[in-house]
Amino acid sequence: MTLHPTSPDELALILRDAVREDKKVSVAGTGNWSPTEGDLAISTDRMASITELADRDLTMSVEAGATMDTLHRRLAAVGLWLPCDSPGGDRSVGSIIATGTSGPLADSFGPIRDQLLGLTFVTGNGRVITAGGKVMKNVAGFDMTRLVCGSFGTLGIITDAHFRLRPKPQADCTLTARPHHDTAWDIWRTVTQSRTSSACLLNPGSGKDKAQVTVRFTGSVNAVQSRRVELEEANNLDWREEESGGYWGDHSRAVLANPISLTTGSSVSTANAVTTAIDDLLPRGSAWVQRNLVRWAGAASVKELQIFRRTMSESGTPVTVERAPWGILKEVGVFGHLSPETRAVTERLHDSFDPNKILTAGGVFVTD
Amino acid sequence: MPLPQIVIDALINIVGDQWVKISKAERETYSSDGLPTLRSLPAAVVLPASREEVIRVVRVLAHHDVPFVGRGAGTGLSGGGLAGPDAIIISLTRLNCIIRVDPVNQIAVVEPGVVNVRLTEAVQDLDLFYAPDPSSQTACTLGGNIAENAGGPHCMKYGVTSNHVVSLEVVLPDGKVTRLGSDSGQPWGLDLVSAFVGSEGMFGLALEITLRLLPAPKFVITMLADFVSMRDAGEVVTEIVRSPAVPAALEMIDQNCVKAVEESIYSAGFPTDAAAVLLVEVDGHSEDTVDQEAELVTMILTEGRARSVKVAQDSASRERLWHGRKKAFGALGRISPDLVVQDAVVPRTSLPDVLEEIAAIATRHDVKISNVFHAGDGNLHPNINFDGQNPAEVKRVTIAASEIIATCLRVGGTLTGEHGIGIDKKRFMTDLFDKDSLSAMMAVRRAFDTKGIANPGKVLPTHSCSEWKPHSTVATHR
Ligand SMILES: Cc1cc2nc3c(=O)[nH]c(=O)nc-3n(C[C@H](O)[C@H](O)[C@H](O)COP(=O)(O)OP(=O)(O)OC[C@H]3O[C@@H](n4cnc5c(N)ncnc54)[C@H](O)[C@@H]3O)c2cc1C
Repeated sequence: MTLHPTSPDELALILRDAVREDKKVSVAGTGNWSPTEGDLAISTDRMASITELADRDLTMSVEAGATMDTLHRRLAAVGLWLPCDSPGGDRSVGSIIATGTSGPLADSFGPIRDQLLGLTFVTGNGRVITAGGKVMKNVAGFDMTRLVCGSFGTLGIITDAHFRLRPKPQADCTLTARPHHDTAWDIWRTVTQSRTSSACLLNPGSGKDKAQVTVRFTGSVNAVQSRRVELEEANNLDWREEESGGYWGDHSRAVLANPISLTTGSSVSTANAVTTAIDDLLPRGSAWVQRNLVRWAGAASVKELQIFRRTMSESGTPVTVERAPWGILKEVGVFGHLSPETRAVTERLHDSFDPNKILTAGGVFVTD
Repeated sequence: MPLPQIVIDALINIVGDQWVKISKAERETYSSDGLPTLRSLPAAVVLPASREEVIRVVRVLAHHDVPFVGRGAGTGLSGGGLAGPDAIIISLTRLNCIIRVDPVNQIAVVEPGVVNVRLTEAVQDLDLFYAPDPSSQTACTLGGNIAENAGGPHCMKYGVTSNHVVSLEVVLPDGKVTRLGSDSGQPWGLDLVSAFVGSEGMFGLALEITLRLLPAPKFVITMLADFVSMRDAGEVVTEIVRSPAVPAALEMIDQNCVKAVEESIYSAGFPTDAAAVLLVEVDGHSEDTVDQEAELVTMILTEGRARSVKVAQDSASRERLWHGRKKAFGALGRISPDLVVQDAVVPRTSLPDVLEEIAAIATRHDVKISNVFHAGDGNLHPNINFDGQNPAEVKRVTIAASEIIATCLRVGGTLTGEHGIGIDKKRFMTDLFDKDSLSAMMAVRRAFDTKGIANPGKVLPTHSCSEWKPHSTVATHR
């Protein structure tokens, strides 16, 4: 059965009933971004409006059921921008926040948590919680906004979000080249370290495929032009200009065309090793390298995922399986092995916010 | 309640005799922080020398259920670093080592007692910098910055402390040590790093802090615009932020504050007859782009009725302007025995109205209010000069401060943008959050601090929270 609450209070009543009746609840989404087993599904489709667009204050309040694409369209119409290009723009804002998915623009604007000013969510014990607010800076109380972001629904169901916005950049230029493998890595390193681009994405390719490096500049016409010239002069390559909207949309679809996607923490000095491990251990898929993460999308068995995660853990690197068919996710979990102390804190949080464990039917904190 | 001798002995055993302060005179030094209106004498002060000593100290205190308060430089402005008579202050100032700088990945690993400005100084030669720059940066510690999620003028472009923390090693209040996050900055499980930043010392102590560094901008232009009308200055802020320019900093200083600065040794050449001045900085990696941004900003300022816009011609004059801004609190501190530095955030567009309302509050209660603040983020700092020995005046100041807060909340603002709740603003938390939301915060705190012994009594008005899931070791609210 799917229920369609229209307000946080209604949702809270539903969740309290679920606790009483010992029912498991899942959030009905567009796919397999979150665990889907449960006795009851909650759809946020009737909480999907943009409740406030303060265009002069550069803030926006939305209900969590609105899709990210809807937000982008609405903002574009008034010359504003939310620098968030998480894969799956047709997903609800709630889903993107809950999974903390960030796209290539996180390189320079930070992940989605950095665009959030506040949230309303309903905990597993049926309480409506407001976190943060609508202003640019806020240290009143503990930062539950960022804590809930990326918690994969374990602490509550998000109903409202407040974002900070930016003026739409005057110019937005995407350049792509397919150089030799080593050159591609050099360019990626240089551009990433210089922090001159809004995004710099490397697809190292596999085998004898050429690597692909894509650089996105946003800003004033002059700023974008001067960075573009700088890039072209520094690298004697055949850079091709792409239409930004189309290119990054295609990228996002390419990620989602695969049944599984995961992210691995990485850095300028470790990214290469991470992609080598991916080549060895997760051969059926592609990897894209960003400043602080490598995203891999493809097909893999539970066993392969577990081995990859264990290998990464040993080098101090977290692997988050952000999306997988339920049968796989149930086995490997979204998050991997946590240290005993971190696990204790996490379990206490989970116990407090969802004492009866009605929100996620496993699949998040599974450890291998 | 005096501290059991067995605890004192155990502490001395760990850190040595001279690093446990129990005499009244010595404890007196730690009885206040940057908030002048509150004092509290701690039971003792302990100054461990190393990470290991801190851990051992916390374990002893946890074992004996003795509450403790971490302490950096004590510049906090909300009373967060004060300890009650049954609590021990753990000073972290001796842990002041920059452990590692990694220029390839642009990160630094530091101990919590490192003074903020020292980090930028240490990485300057690598053309890097650490962005969050609280005005107190020559004194405050990075551990204190983590606890308060500190901001500063340049956070407008670069983000506040939480945007720059990669990972943390912390000792939890039960003495267990854990690493939160990962070297990449990607969370490991729930984002506990983000939860810890801004936890005001109530989740445990940061032992080792990994911070993001940024390439230092090659070109910087600092402008000073002065206005005859405060409203005009307030309105132009929105225009600049709405424009394609992305200023690194956008600060406002009103006439009262300008006068205080100009009469002090920090004189920066601010025009004392202006109703307000704006300090605007643009920066970047290409000279042309920065020039063009400065031109655009100048145009907006002029169209917004700035009386004049002056550009600092060299780094010396730029530094002089910033010195005037960053030492403004010091300058204000000179003109009366006491000064409260207030902190609240409002939507930028309401700045003109709120500033007028603050002026009206000052007149109504016959108090002197000066404003110097991060206008680009709508982060106000109305400062009130007063004499703490004059009870009638203290009363008027308290009422005025409450009215300022009420005004900010009325327009959709918040209680604090960077100084924290501490003790000072605890009583206002119920004006902003309902019982369930406060209880949720309490639950987060309990997840980190099952015993409730880390910095008890701060941030949460416990009578307004209900405990969701009491942990067996806890008998009372702390
Ligand atoms: C003149 C002046 C100007 C200021 N300007 C700014 C400004 O521009 N922006 C701004 O944000 N703030 C500003 N402040 C406030 C203050 O400097 C900051 O809050 C700063 O972060 C406090 O650092 P501290 O080392 O002095 O911490 P303390 O005051 O010693 O402690 C503050 C809190 O941090 C906790 N704490 C300290 N160390 C640790 C640790 N290692 N682990 C966990 N908790 C810890 C303490 O328990 C306490 O709750 C200003 C203060 C003054 C006096």
